[in-house]
Amino acid sequence: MYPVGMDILPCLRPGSLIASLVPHHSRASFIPELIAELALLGPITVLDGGNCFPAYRIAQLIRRKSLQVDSISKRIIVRRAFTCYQMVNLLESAPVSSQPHVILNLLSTFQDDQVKPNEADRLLTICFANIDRLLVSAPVATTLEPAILAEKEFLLKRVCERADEVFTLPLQTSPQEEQLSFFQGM
Amino acid sequence: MGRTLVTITQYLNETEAMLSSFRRALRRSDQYIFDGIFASARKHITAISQTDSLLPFETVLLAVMLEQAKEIAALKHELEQKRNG
Repeated sequence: MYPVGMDILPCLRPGSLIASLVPHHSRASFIPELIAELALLGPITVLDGGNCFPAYRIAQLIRRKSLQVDSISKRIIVRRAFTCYQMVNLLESAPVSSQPHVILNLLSTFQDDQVKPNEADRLLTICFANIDRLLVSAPVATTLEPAILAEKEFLLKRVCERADEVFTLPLQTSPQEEQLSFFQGM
Repeated sequence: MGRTLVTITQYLNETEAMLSSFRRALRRSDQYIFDGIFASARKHITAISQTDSLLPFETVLLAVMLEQAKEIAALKHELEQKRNG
């Protein structure tokens, strides 16, 4: 596991699945930066599984580096899933292309308590098969948030085991913890 | 299916929070004016949300300018009335 940041960009190459564990408090900064950087490089497909696509923030970040906000924003194709079945459908219908795919909150829709763990496991297997299909010609990066339901924590483990590289954001520390002591040995 | 984009009210709140360190560094009297700027933008939230802009902050600034222009016009009118009368 590596600390996440923009170090993720060089790792994005066809055939590699990158997973980033992004706690809720950090997603506001990390996700828009990643998508904006990728959009500046070329077309990109975003599969949003957590209804968390930060459109305004991405536009702001693109504006910092380019005047062509509209044309660069048009390179970003956003598709959304609101249930795990829709997520499976989204991945199944995603065409194989050379543009990178970013899956936001892959497991968010799997947290639905109406979906039993074995059913979620089955659906995730289908998702993996389709991610493998996309990986043939393009890199795939996915963001993950800590599991809400303990009975579905194994899904997070499965994705981390399946990923070629796993990046993780350090947990937020309080200022008191960061404060260095004025006295040695204290 | 819920909203897929934050509302302009949320956006303004987030922007104000993002600028909180800037606000903190201002003098107390300037902080009062700064808050007034955001309050004047909030008067035009409906209009701002109608623009469907990727960068709503540009429209927010336009709304602030509009409020300032209104204030200038009102002051001009008041001044003219005093001069005439």
